[in-house]
Amino acid sequence: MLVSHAWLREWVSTNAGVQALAECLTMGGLEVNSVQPAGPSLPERGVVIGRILRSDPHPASGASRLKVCEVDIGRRTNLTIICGAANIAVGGKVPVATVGAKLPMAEVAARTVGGVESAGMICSAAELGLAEQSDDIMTLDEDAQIGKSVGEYLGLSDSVMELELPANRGDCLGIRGIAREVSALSGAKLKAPPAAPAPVRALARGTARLPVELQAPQGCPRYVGRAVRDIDLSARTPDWMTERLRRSGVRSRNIVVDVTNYVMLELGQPMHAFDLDKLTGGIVVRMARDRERLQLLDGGEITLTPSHLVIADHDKAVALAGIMGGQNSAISATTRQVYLEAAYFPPSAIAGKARALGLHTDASHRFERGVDAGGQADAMQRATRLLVSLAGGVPGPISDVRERKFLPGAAKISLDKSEIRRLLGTVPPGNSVSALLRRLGMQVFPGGTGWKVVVPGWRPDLVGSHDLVEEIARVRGFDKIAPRPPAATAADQPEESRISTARIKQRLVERGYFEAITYSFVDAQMQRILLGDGGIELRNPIADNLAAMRRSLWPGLLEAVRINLNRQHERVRLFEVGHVFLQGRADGGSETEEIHRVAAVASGSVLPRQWGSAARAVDFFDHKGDLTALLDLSASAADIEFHAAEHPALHPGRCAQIRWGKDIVGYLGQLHPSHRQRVDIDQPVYLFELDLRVLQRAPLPSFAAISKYPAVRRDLAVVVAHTVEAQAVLDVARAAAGDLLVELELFDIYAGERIAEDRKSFAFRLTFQSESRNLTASEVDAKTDEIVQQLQRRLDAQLRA
Amino acid sequence: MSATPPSPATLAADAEQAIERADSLETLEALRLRYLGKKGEITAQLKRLGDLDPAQRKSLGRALNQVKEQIRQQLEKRHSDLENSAVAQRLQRERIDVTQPGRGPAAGALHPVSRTLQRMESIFDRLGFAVATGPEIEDEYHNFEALNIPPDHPARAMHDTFYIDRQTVLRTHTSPVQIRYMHDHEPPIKVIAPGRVYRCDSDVTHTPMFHQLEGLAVDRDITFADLKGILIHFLQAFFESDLGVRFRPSYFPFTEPSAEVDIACVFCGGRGCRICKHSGWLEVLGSGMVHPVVLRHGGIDPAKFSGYAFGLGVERLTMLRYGVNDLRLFFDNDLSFLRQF
Repeated sequence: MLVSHAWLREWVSTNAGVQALAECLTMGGLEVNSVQPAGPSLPERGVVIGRILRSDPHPASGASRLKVCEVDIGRRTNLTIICGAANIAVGGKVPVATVGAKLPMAEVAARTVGGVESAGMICSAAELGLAEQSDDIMTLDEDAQIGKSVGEYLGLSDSVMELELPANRGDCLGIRGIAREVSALSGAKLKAPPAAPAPVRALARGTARLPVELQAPQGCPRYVGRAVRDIDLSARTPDWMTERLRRSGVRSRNIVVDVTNYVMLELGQPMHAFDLDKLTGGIVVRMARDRERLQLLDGGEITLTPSHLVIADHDKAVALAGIMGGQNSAISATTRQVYLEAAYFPPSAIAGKARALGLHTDASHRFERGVDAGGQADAMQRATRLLVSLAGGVPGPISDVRERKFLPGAAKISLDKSEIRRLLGTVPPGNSVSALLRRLGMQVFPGGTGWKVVVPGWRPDLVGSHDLVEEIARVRGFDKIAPRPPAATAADQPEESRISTARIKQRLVERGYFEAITYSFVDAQMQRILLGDGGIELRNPIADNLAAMRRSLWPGLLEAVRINLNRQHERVRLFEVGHVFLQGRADGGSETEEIHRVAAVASGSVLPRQWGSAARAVDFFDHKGDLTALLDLSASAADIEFHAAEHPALHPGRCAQIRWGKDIVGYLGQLHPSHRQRVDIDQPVYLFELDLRVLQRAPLPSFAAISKYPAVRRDLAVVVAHTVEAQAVLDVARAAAGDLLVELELFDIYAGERIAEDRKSFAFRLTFQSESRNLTASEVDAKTDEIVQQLQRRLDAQLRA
Repeated sequence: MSATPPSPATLAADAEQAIERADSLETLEALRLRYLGKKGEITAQLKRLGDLDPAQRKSLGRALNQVKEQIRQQLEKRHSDLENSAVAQRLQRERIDVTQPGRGPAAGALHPVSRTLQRMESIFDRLGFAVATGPEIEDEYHNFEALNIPPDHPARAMHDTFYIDRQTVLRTHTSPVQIRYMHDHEPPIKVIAPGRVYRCDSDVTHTPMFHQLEGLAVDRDITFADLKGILIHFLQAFFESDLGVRFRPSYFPFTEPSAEVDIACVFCGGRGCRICKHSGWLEVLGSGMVHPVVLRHGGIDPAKFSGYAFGLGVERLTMLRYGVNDLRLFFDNDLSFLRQF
């Protein structure tokens, strides 16, 4: 909402400068985003009002439109100015910039065209910085005083405040409303408007009154209408009004529309004007008929349904109520009779309707926020008065049709002192509560421990005592409430066995990973390829490649890998912790399920480039080591198993399923080489993803006595078929060794020379120890033999020579 | 007949010179054998003492033994000198360039948003706030209705909501967690809810996903004064500065009174600069006393209990804290950016 400071000061008696007013409004809850000059600062003597005395075609340029004008600017000699505008009219008042005047875009210089010297410039609005673009020169009112400064004439020293209004303050969508706020916040007196809307006598002639019928009273419980006949539509909108409209961000159109807009900007009540000659019979406010069509003023044609409220005549819909008028009854250059409308549409009738049609108008903006249900007659009087004085015309009698049952009554609220104390912690002293509320236009009746309050019609947002408490706090100033410092108390006792997400992240950070945060929505097609399922799709995605909720953290991380490789980071380690979104629940429900996961991705060299370490690319087992480091935090680590498996995203021979008991809790592997092109990554990438629930509990350390007896070690190397998994060898060895085996360490894996082609060798160290005695060499040897025999029997292992 | 053996003095002088000159342990050993060995010169002369007359025997014997002891000591000293210098040489050879960089893996880093969230959580933990979470795919009821935002409320238009279907949205704020938490817990309630939120909006200053941290306290005696107290404390702790904080009336459907909270601009100290648009203030969060309708939707009687709530943008505060000037950097995950935190 744009508010002219000068206009506002016509409504409230304050000497406060615009910055002080802006601060006052901001601290009162009507945030002023900016304060701008109302117009460019034009040189006082350099841009003045002139009158065109003569206009002759330029002698030297036959075909061009150039004209040589003689202009009176109230000085001893008239100016000769060459001008090319089409709307040069002898006798017209125009802004004239004299030689040397600094205009917003350029300095005016004398120039000679075809032998004729031009001593200045007749300006367009754009040249004066009052419009973005204009082809014509600007024309001024007939009574503008020749020689007077244009800046002063237009009042350009005014400032415009841009207010960001809260959604509940429909009452502030008009100058009068802002003035009320200034008065309430600062104590300044409201002024009677400069041209009070004196009722205009209805001059009956012909059919004086159009019948008005409210067929949908919930949607329109009050309709005020009036015909005004014999309007001169060619009447010029006076400069002061054009300027105020411009400062409010509204373009001048014609005298009728300008007047209705002006009244809306001033009083906050949207109005509409119909061409009376295009209305048949009378006004009917009703719900639209199914598939009824209406071409709107903006040119768009809409198909209505019975959920739309329309203004109709006896034949057809003529306006989308409270939103926009129809083309079929619009004011045009030939209009002679108008029908003015000032209606009350409650927010419930308008809210969402405009948006659903892709429309947003000044009228709908106000109605959906709530206008004063008692303000229509005032607006009608004000508009009639302006119209008649500016464009002539004979006003007919006012029709004011109401359905009281659906009109909001004045809210009556009881407010108790204790309620104020309960919410604010303090009660304003003495009778300042009543004073504050009265400043807001309320009627206040003290009684008992509180007050009975009647809320004015322009504040439909105030319905309960908490609303009044807010008003008291707001108008008095939030700074009047002293802060109460918090008492420090810890929330929960820290639990030793709880693994915080912070700790999980820290472990990965220490292992060289950077945390990424990627969007929760990804490309559905990519997800289909990588995960076999596109995922839950958004109805209104921000972009096609961000249209599906992620089912895995991998698509986002792979995208981040791609970006980093493209930006010359050759070694990438990233992880993310976040939700993935699955359709349907394990128990068969159809709701979505959100699972908290951690995922990491590694590509490039195993170590940051450094001296003394041979460069080697990261591999599956490096990445598995990082995953194991994470699992080692958890009490569940011992129950985690890795199984060779397949996953659409992963290399079929380099993919492990992570199992926790019977549950599949994650995957680890190398990105399938055939996806590399698709994800645009040209080097091997390793990935893992794990459900965070696995990492919820940390083990509580439990001390075991340290044996006083020496440990006995044996190294063993066995050769097995290539297909035998390391885990199987370790499991068999451990089972065969019994309790005395305290450590089993796989320290070498070898395939190649001196080993048969389809076989491999595992070397491991066995450590035996007893808590209660020295072990003899022979019993340790016996155990070792037992292990070898079991490995032979179960896995066809041979002792390596 | 052999020549006359050298006198003890000559022997001593020769030996001293030779020992001085010896430059290796091997040469030194040869000298030891030459003079002191079983077949060495002194041993040989001592063996021949018996052939001499007693007077001569006695004085020569004493002189020879003296020389023998002298040589022995000289040998010993030279031996230890040679040994020390060998060690010194070896150590010299083992010298390294201690300025070469250390080896091994290097640490990564937390995302700045995580870093900020962890700091926020730790500040609120000390004030007794528990941490709650809620779903990111949320139903309209919890995201809007329960928070006093009915279907056609103008505030909905400002939320630019992502829809999954007619009743299901990506939560536009963390406030639905308020409702869920109140439903499951009895007052006194003190909780924060950090998490991702979504708005269908993308430009220089908006990303379709960002993070909020919601706070909620409900008890019998909670007032606007407590809200001011907690937020001033939090903001000063977060910026580790005694900075100015101001509360401006505002409007949110789910709180009343509602306040927007500004801090004195952290870039210019409140004097006014480009970043604070010359106002001296930066808007950092929204807050207010929980609306009675919202308490009721949370199953709490507004006649008995009151509460405050606040919600802040995590990226915004991260940007102010670390001087990050482009919101979109947070979701590019460029290592050049992530390394800085």
